[in-house]
Amino acid sequence: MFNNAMGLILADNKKISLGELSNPRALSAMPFGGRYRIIDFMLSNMVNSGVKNVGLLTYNKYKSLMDHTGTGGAWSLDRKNDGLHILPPYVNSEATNISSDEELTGVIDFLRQSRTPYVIVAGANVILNTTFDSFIKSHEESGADISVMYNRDGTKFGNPSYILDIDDDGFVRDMLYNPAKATSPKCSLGILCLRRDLLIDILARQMAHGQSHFGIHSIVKMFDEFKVHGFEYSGVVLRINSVQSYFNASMSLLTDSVRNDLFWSGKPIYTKVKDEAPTLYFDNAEMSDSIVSDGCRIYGKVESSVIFRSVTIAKNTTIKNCVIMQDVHISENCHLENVILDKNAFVRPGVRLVGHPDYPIVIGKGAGI
Amino acid sequence: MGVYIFTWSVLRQALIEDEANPNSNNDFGKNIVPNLLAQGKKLCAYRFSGYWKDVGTISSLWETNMDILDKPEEINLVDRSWKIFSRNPVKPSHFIGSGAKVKNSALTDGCRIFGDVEHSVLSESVIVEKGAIVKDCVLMPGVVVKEGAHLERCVIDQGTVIGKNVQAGSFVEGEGPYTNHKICSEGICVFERGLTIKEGAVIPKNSMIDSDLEVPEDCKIIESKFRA
Repeated sequence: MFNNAMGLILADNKKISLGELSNPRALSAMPFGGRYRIIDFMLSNMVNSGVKNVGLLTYNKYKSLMDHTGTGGAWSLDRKNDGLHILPPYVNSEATNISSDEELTGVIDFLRQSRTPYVIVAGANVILNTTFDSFIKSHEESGADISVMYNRDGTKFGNPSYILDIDDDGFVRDMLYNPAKATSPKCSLGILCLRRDLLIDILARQMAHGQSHFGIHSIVKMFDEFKVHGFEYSGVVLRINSVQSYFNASMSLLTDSVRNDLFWSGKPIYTKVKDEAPTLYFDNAEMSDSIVSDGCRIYGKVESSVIFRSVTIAKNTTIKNCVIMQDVHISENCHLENVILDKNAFVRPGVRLVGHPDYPIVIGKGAGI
Repeated sequence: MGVYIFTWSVLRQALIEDEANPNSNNDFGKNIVPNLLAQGKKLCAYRFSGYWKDVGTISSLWETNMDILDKPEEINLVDRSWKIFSRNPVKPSHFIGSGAKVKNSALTDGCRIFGDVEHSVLSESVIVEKGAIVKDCVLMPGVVVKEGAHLERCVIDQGTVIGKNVQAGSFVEGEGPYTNHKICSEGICVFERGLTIKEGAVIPKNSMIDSDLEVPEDCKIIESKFRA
């Protein structure tokens, strides 16, 4: 635990679209793993590291995110000093639209108000359970200006990927964006550690050059000018870069090693609490290899699936390799395979939907089938 | 049902009088209400029509848990307009492994099921290992049922670990040192919190596993007790 760093989470990523799934919400507000949103992991990592001041940088579609975080109570970030800050685009009164989003103004103000020497900056698309103690320690010991976390995933999670070329002393000497052929498996996690005043300087300079968008990797790219050190992370990392990688990441939770690393390593992942009743399994329920959240009613057969809260699966219905989000209702005599159903979707009796594991079917929020 | 509404001043007076009476049991149902009736006070009954149950005995506590499974429409826990609020454990959603069977049961966050669970109510973070059978049971938070154990009609308090191949509950005939007809009935076995039950222990129906009970050395089934 340390108390010399603040956190900054980029709650969305303009380079990543999950199609219909990311229409209603920022990437970090994407439901994941039954009862979580993607952001819960990074927020918990920060809190479990002792960070008490966290900014969430958003630019649009932040309603869902704000519904979820509230005042940060679930993460003990509802504090009088510091705590959770949602940083929507800074729009001055003369602006007529948000397209000229001045993200950086708000961030710089937020950074200036803090007193901690370091900032941990993280993106919205990585899921891992860690604390940043050794990351910060390595940053201090390396004498680097900027440290970046990476692992050896290479390009296996698809684009966008940032491949790092790291020298023998651990310093970054090149970075490749979406390379056709990866020269190294070292892939950035988009998690940085740097001095707060350096981050303010970099952002102020970017603003002066007319940039308005915060890009984590535009900072890593400054390896010519600053000493950028790589820090290897060896635990489980899931990257959400596309519908496919979201689906694969969800399915990988059914593997013991992934689940144990993310959920049972002694560092809790906090999320908004809902006071749901337990899930009820009825007479003919058949369950296998699945994650199920509270408040569900299961009458049918479920295999290798991730079921969120308050889902109903009626009798004679078979669910296989599906991700079924909160409040979905699936009626009798259905067969669903390789399908992602967003919140509140309704499937009428007798529907048969079969996607391919490499190309799941996506049913949007609130859709009726 | 033990739910009353009093006129404040009447109750205050009745309590003062009751306190002054050395023969009183200081009980609402036995003393306060009968005394008020005897004084000729106006007493109205309200007929409650929803689900209710007194859970003051082991068998009624067990039965009420089973009602969650058998009468889900009566004891409706999923009414969003009338949620039952509780402490929410910080645990992931429950996981049901590939060899597991779960039927007619209620499961909640943090549970990990690899064995057979039938007609049982499991609290948060219960683990049922491969080959274990849990039937008609009430398992409280953090209970672990090890490989090959077979439990029927067991009510197990928080954090107790049932060792491998333990046989316990209503299907085990006979009597043992822990048999307790005063507390247990209908074959129900009760386990104290924080115990670790020895591998292969056989526990007959109507047993109350209490670590304070003195039993002969060769009958000991408690391996250890967790003390907070």
